[in-house]
Amino acid sequence: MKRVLISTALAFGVLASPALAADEVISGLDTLVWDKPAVSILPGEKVTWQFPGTAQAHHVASNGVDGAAVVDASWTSFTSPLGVPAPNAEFTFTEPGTYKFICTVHKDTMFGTVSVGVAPPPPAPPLPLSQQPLGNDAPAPTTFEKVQEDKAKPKLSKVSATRRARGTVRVKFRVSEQSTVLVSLKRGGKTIKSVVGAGTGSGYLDVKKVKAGRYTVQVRAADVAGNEAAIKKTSITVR
Amino acid sequence: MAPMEPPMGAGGNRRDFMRNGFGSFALVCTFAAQSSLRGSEVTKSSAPATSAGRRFQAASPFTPFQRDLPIPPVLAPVSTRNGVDVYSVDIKDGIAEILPGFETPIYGYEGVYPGPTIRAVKGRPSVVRQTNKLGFDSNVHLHGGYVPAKHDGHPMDVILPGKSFDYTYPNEQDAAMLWYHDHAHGRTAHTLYYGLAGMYLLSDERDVELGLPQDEYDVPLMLADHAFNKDGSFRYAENVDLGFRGDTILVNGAVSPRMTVQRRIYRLRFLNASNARSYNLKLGNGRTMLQVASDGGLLEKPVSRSTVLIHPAERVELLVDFRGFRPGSEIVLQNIDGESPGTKSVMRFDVESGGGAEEFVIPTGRMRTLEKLPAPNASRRWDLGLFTQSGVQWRIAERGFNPDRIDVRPRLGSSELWQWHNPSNRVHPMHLHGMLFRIVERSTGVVHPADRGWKDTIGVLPGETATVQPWFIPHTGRYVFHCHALEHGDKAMMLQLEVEK
Repeated sequence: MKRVLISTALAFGVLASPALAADEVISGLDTLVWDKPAVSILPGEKVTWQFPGTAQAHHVASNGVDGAAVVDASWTSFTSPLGVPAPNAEFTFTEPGTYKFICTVHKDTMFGTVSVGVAPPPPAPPLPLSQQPLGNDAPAPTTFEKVQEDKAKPKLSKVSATRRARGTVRVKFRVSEQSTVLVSLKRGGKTIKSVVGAGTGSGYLDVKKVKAGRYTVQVRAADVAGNEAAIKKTSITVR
Repeated sequence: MAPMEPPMGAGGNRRDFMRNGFGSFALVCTFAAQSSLRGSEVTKSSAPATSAGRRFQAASPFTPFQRDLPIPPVLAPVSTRNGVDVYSVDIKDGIAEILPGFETPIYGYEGVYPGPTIRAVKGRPSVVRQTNKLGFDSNVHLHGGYVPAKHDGHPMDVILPGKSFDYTYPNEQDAAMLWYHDHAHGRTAHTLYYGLAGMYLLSDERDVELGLPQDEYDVPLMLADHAFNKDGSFRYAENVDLGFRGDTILVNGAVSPRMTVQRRIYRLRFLNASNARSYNLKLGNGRTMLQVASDGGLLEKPVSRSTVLIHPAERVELLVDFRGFRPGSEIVLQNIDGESPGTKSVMRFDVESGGGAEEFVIPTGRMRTLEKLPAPNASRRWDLGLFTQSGVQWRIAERGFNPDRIDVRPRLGSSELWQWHNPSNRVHPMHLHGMLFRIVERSTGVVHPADRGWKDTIGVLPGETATVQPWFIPHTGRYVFHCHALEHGDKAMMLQLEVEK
């Protein structure tokens, strides 16, 4: 029967390729394409769809025919069950025509045609740039940090205290990097007054409303990372 | 000698100082101008020494860390009368420059992607007049908002082309990172992919009381994976099973960008606006980040994290402390679940000098007390599965979306236990409109402390059964709940509930 059909087809000059004269196997892939989106067979031959080793849900279903007339009614309702991987499905085409098939899960990329006893459709012209993928070709990053942690302590120097206006003590200092500086006036181990400032280089902080007496002046500094400078002390008498 | 300002509110803070170190001071005075003393700097790897090196680097539009992180514009109100902020937004076509040198056609709120950020304040309602200048129906859903049903953006409540709708948002809930996006029936996978998404940051006084970073140190970050065509347009192919997967990660519309940070504490607010991709974020080689908030706002206590899984539509707010790094340091935020080179790099933080004294604090104790839910008065099980009858579609309890059918009718003020049962091999980020829920139990392990706050979306993992407790407040009316893997939600993983008096 097949031989008769082939010779008939050849006689009509419709089919030219010897590759046509066989059943076809089409594989659905996890790259969301069919390995053979267009196959040609002769009436009476069979197409098998398989999904070897896939990790995504696929199946195959009829997407109608090219042209107006539905030539094979059983094709219209052809559909296979979903699966991971999906089971094989097959269909024997008996009538000439161009049959469209699809994976409905991936309808934008997994579609194709079976040409039965008719000339296969001419190869499609190249797609416009708006439909060709521009893949991300950037290499994978290998280093995820290039970091120097700040473990260095700031340096506190030139600490001095002077009396200013009534009850005000000006504490001068120099700090080697951006730091928060705490100036405390202490007496008998207790902090009586304290003032906080932030900055870098030379600076001073004024401690106001200080009652008369002799105080220990303690200056502490911590940089942005929280590293603390060695504590500096001096003393002052407020009159 | 530098001039000096009197200390502001800093005196007598010795106890704080002893407890927390210098970082506890919210207000400190400055005693000197910027100095040239900056310590040693790390050499930057992003600046090749030769011009050929620079050309090589610029050769691919996908090279990560080439573009500075864009921050979406903040929408200005057109009126602020009577204590209501009125905004006006056109939903329209636009062009974005996402890949350098290419134009990408988008749909955009105000024609931009991501859409402009709306900053709202608790107790101050906003009205957003949305005008549809597209050629097809659109609508707007405020994701995570306590919004009256009429204004929620139900899939069947659409704005016809050329028409407008005034969405009224009461803003009566606690501060949270919300977002707004298209929700027209059956089209969200397409419209969100092409740009219809924006952020809505609702704040309240608690943010200030806690001293959380604000302004330029409070950064909204919209994650989305995309693919491109050779003309620079977005490339989309439907995948009903897995959902769309792109080969490139965009943050605020830029390919794996870099963000210059000062040596300060930053509040990084992540939104996963991807169609269906989940991210597993890791900072550098595993540096800890402090999660302070999730979908429904602040957690009860901050949670230290070394990796953060974020499913589609979820929000995660992280405090990252860059104070310990020298200027020039570079730290990559990776997506360790990325399956290709382009999906592994999310963004990079480049530490610069400057920034002055820290004025914000890292919370250590209780940030919020979550309200107690009423005892559940019903228990429901929702099976999640893929079906092939009437085309391929995902279903909830073997039902697909039917706008003419109400699937649940809870009473206002009540709560129920909803068990999501996922025998499939896909993640299903299940989202409830207009209301919030708490996660009660997961078959995959204990509920992570970071998942114990208010949620509006839960990523139900493959093979997992997760129980949540929704609280049906504060509005009555018709809402939907659905899978936020957009291809799943469109086909047709969505049911309806009507909250009744």
